[in-house]
Amino acid sequence: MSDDSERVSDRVSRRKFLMTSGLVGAAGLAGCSGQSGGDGGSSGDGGDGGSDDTATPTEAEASGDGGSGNGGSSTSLLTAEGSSTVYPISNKGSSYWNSNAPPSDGEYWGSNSEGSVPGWSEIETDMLLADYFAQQFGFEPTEQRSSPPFPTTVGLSHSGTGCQAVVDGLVDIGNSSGPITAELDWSEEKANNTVVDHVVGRDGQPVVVSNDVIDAGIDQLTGEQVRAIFQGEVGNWSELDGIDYDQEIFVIGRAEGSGTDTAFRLNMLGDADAPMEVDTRQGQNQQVAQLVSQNEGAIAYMALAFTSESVIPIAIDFEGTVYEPSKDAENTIFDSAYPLNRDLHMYTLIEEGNPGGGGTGPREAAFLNMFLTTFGQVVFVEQNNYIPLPTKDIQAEKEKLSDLMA
Amino acid sequence: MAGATQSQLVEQETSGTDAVAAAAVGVSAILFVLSILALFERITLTDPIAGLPTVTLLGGLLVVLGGTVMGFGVGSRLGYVETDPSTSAGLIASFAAAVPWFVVGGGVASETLGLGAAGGLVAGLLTGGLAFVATALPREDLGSTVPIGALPVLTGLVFLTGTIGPGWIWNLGWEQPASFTAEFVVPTVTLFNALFAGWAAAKAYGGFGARGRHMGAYTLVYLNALSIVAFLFILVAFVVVQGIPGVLTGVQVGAGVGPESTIFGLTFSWPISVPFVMNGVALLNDYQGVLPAIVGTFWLVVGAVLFAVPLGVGAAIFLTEYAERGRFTQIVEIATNGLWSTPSIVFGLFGFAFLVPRFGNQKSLLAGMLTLGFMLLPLVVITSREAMIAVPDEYRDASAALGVSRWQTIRSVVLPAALPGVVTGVILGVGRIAGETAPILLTMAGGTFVPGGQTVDVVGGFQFTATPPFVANPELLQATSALPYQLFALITAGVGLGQNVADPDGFRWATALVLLIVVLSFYAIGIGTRYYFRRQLRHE
Amino acid sequence: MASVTESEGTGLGGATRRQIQRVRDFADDTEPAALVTVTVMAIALLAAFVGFLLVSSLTIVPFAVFLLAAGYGWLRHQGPTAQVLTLTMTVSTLLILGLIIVFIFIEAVPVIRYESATVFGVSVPGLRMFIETRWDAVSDPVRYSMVPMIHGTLLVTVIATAVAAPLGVAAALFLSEIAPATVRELVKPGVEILAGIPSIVYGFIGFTVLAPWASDQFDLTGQGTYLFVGVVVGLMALPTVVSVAEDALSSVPESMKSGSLAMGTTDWQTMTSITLPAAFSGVSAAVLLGVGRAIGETMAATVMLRGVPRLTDPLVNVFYGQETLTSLIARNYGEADGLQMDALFAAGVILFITVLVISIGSQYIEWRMRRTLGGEV
Repeated sequence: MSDDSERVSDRVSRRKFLMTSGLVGAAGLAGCSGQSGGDGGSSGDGGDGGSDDTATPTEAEASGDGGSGNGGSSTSLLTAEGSSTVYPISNKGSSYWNSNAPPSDGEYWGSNSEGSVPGWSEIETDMLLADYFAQQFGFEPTEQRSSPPFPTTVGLSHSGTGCQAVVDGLVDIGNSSGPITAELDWSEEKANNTVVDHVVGRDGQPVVVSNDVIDAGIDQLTGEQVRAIFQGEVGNWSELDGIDYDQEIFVIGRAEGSGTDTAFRLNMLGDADAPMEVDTRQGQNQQVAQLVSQNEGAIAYMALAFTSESVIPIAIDFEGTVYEPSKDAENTIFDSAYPLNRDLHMYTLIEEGNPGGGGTGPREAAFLNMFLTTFGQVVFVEQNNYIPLPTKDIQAEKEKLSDLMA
Repeated sequence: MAGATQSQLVEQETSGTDAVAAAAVGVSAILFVLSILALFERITLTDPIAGLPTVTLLGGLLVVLGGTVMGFGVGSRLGYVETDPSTSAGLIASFAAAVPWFVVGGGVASETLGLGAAGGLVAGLLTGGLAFVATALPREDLGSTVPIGALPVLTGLVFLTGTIGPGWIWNLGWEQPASFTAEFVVPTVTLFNALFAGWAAAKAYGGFGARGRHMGAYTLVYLNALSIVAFLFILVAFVVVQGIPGVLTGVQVGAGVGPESTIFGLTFSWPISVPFVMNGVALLNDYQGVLPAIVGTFWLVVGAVLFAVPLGVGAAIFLTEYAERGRFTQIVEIATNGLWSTPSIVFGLFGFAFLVPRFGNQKSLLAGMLTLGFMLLPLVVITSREAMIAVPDEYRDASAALGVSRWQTIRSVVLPAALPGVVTGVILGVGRIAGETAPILLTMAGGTFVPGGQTVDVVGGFQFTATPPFVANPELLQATSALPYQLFALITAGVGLGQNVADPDGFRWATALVLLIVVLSFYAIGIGTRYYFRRQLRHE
Repeated sequence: MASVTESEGTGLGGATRRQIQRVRDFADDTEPAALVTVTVMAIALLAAFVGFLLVSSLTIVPFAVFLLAAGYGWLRHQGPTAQVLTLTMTVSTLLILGLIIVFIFIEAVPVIRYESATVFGVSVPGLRMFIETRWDAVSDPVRYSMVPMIHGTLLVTVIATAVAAPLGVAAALFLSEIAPATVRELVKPGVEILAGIPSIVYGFIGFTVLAPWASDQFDLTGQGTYLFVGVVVGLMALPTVVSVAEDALSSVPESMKSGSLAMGTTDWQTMTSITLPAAFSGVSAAVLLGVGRAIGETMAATVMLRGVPRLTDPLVNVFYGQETLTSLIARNYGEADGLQMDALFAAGVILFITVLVISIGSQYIEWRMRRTLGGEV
């Protein structure tokens, strides 16, 4: 009997030991989790209750009330979401902004003995990156690396989702590679009354093919041929006139809510609702790029930022004019005359809380303004292989933000 | 003692014929391995092995194998080999012989002879029927070796004569084109031949009859089990090998290299720094990492456990202790089992339709926690019930005899005794939900390439507000990332890694490896605790 | 005093009477203070739940009342409080299932109404989803047919079952009958760990390694096949089949097996003629559960399939993988809205019903098995 009770007491004490160690571990972890991760110790989200969307486990919320608290110079997280085409621009900008690099850096901001960033001559400031742009709209500089006046984050989904999210007030900026009128099926008037359209760059939407197609000598197609391929009328490369390559065509499309898909239907097939027959649909440009490089006989439409040496844009002959993929030709896919050329939009919501009842809050304005400088156009737009805006368009965009400048 | 005969009770020495049969099994094993290697493209059909073209080598081995098997059967029939066959090979063996011959006959007729699908079907039935009869009618030693042995002989001859060579291709002529290429057909056909002939050879080794069938079946079953384990091993090893370089980029070991943390007022820095799990994705990082996703997974699991375990254990207590077995308990059982089999995407849809509108109409960590809690709940109920039912009634009776009330009995006798089972079940359940992507896709998916500073900070986020509700935590309402979602996002959209990541592919594999480590460690702990508690129980 | 007569009527009337009797007994047995506390607790919880359902911001009030009442009851009258609390928890599991059914159905109603077809002059809602085979969410005429997805799910499930059932039952046989103890200790955890590998990891390996390889082997246009998605899903369903079948095989009474062996049969003969037939129901339940798991598999399918809902050409073409019910939802949730979103819910409804039917079926089979084997388990 004593054996049993001893064993029982052993078990009880073991259980107690387990429980206490569990509690100790939890307490320690709670202490630990109060710290942030590896870079610079900023807790990053400034959660000062500015946003109205708060709850406890069984609390309920009036839907749609999640206003992002733009009033005044709130320093809460600036959220953007939407198109995977605009994402490279937006995300690169966001990561530069969050880094708040000092001017001594030379690689991301400012200049030093090793080099300087593009467009630095127009800026020439002592302030850190985000501090400089934010202070133009009334924010206090933090003077701390990796700790901007307000942090930013960019989500990745589709143009349609981004448009819907910004209209519903769930994010501050909606990225879209198709016009909101086509994405959400709105009239121009409604769009103008609800959102403000900030264009930050242009995409010459290329049609790309895989390596083996180029090797077979196909580096140019007519608009009519492309249309026939994407509407399922042609199944094999050899069925096209003048082409002698016997290979089934692997037609890759984008998801049906993406701006790239909408813009392609609009510009190439004539109507945003035009029927298309493809072999596979992918959600983002990156997947399309991967499929094109992994398969043979592939053709797809995507965005300029994702071309590479295994994903090659071809020249398109639209009614006599041949638009070449290289920048030095007479007519290129980088021209605005190229029928598939499209604006890249960052939409903001017109809200009463914004200064002057306008369409942009101060945080969005500070962030967007960064893209409209030479620095921004070169680093974020051009270095992603997109088309920077001509000067007069930049001026027009800056007009939309001038009211808010401090 | 008159007429005492000496009968051999035990066969101890391996006679020459046994060695032949064993050799046949050995050859089939070699062919099995070779065909697997060929499928994985470790050996190709064009490069020669040991000086011989691959197809010729395979063909030769196949002929040898088939010949040996057939020879053994014939030898046994003619009495040269000591075996113990039954009168017929049986239905199963006949069926097993008929199927491959049906395929062969049908394929040859419809393609080589060009008779089309109908002709192929008829011819296939003919050859299959012939094989069936040839297996069932003669004595077992002939029936189970000759038809099956003829198969590798035929295949081997086809390979040796070059009828199917490295350039062979059979276009199926479908609208969505597909063809059988030699790279696929040769290894696969070899594989199946090796399996069939190996089975027949094992039967032969066992001397046919009941013992022979026993040997044959055991060979296949052992092979099956070992392949499953080997598959698991190869899978995990593959992910580890691909992922380790990514996880270990920038690792530093030494005093003071890691991040700082404060426990009980003491600040110290960890002596090891693994950037992949300690950083987020930020421009000024030397190395990028997946810390926000790891933290997200951690909080998801904590929230789901806090929600599901009390609920599930409470329900199990009621079902086993308070309720009487009847309609109600049956309905709850059916409901729980149904809930447990529900696909994870349906839980995601439910979370999207039910939870998301109630938490600010946007994706949030809380919605993800609750959805995963719903998924964990049925498992907790089922395991807790089993654990509590397993507690012997004597415990409860003894407690009642002492005058203890029912609830007290449950609290101090049943629950502690059932605790090991419950804990094990919870850990295994956590392992399952930690790896789920679909539910969090619709309820929680947030930014995937966020800097470490933007990691969700639940504990520090609690605050009081003046309006109802009076407690708030904006952190819980943020859409965050979690490890499985991170991997999904990386597969579908590798962008965002920027130029800082030298090897995006390695980053992906490293994320997969971290996810695998997290999930498998839960499973390992769960299995370990179950083993530990079972040993405890056995010592009682 | 209160007496419960079991034989007092069967069926719904009798059951209700028994329940009411039980409640009355409970009320009689507990002191008034405790009774009041638990009643307040129950009502507060109900009110909180209703408030949560109605998306009201006042939900915190009844919830706070519930917490207070529960706390007080726990301190003073633990027994009855515990009983009522655990009852509510049990009810909540039923409630969750009910909520899932309700909410998913509600969301799917608009598209079911949209996709109605007329049969003999009667408009049947939802019928067109199963008759026409075209899915197009953008161009006219907009159609949300489920047929291509059902076809895909069917093909994948058949292939997965063909992989998981024989291999799984054989492995279960191995684990419960054949393996020596040390081997069993190695293989069983191995199979369980196989169950633990997340499906997204399978999907990742399938997308980067398996799909391009398959595209080469079969000379396909592009990558994405039902065949290999089926194989991967089968490997994922394998551990489920193994564990449930192994339970069933182990529960065959030892006496049956020993009796057979005593007559001089080999182990294998015992297995095939005694154990397997006796455990047949359990093994088939295991296979059914594996099938259910295969049907519900999402992430591996989403990553490896092509994402264009259409029937393959010809129908048995397993070398082209288009879309299953699960991958449709996972792929389109992001940009679907309006009717397209409701169509995703309709796919969810089909999935849910199918798996529920399979689950109930396998439970019924297991229940029958327990009855047949009598009290020897």
